[in-house]
Amino acid sequence: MKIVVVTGSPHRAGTSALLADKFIEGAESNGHEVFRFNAAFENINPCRGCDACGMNGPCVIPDAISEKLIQKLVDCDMIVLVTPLYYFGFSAQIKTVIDRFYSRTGSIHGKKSALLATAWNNDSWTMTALKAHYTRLCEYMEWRSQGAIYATGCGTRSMIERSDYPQKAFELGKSV
Amino acid sequence: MDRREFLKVTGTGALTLFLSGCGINAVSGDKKAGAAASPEAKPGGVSQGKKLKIVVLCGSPHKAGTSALLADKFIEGAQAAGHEVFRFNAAFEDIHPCNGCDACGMNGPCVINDAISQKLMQKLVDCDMVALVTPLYYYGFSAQIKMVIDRFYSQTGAIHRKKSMLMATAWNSSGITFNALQEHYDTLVRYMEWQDVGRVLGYGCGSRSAIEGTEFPEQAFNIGKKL
Repeated sequence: MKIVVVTGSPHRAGTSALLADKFIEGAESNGHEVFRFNAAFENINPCRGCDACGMNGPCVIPDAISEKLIQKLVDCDMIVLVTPLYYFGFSAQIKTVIDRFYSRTGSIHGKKSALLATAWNNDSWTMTALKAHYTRLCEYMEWRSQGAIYATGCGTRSMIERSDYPQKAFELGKSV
Repeated sequence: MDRREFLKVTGTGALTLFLSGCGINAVSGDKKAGAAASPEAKPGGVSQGKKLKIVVLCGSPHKAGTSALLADKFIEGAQAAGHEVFRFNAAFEDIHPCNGCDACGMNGPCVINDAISQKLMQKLVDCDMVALVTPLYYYGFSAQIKMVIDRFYSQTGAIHRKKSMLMATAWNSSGITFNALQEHYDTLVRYMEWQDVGRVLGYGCGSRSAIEGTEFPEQAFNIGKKL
């Protein structure tokens, strides 16, 4: 499979980046081809809502999303969203990418998908809103979710390294 | 919006209108009722006669779009009632996402020197109420307004315990359209210990003409007017 991993954290070696690393390790060990796009380290801009694309055409914004990512998203078999939980949702960085799906939204429908998310907090309601959002996205995009990892109580690299979430991410990558 | 959905939405509004005796109702769709039946429904109930400082955060890249109209109307109502409004149009300001550097320690100046730091942050700290206004983009807040929300971080404690409201518009009109956004807003309210004073959820508002034919602008006006 061709897999696109979109990460949303501004930390290069943070908690969600570790889950992405492990997922990719698992997927590559299984022979899949992975393209990783680290939204926080690319020149990206939010959707302007100009509708020049008509939901099916080139985007007028000449940035890394247009130049490096969109065609990969169109061509791939699976999309993996990786985000730290910021104010109970996707980080603004990855949401910027998600909103830009718009120009090719039909072509990004029907893929396989997964979500890897990390949070400092560990309450019963920590991930409720993100779960609802991911579920809704999958329904709308007709994505077939292959799994989601909601790593609560993972505020630092050492916290997540002591948990079993990295192993779970590896296994998820291995299983797809 | 199909007929069943239309009846449900307008029915909820009409019933609340009837029960509360005034127009401060929020459209609840098929989810939590928000402030629809809250005691704040009487004029002046939210402000207790005090002049409120209100920050309106807009997330749409359309200057005269559907969510902008809700913001306009809310502001019109709030100003008519004597409240002071500061509006920040995220899509038209130089803003950047949180770097997660934690230099602020959740209680200090942000290292990013942009419009959020220069124009907005102190207003958020000093205000009595925050109004979040967004178009529904991929079932959530637009990236533009989410960028602002993530930046609350540097003064998050000082932005706790405000009054708040949500105004959103979407092209789609099915009952589940706003579920994820409402879940997100409810969680924000819970975490920030905000007092939710209402929400306007503009189903089926894909264009300016679509929303102008609805009751949503008036709902926004009324929430502002009767704070």
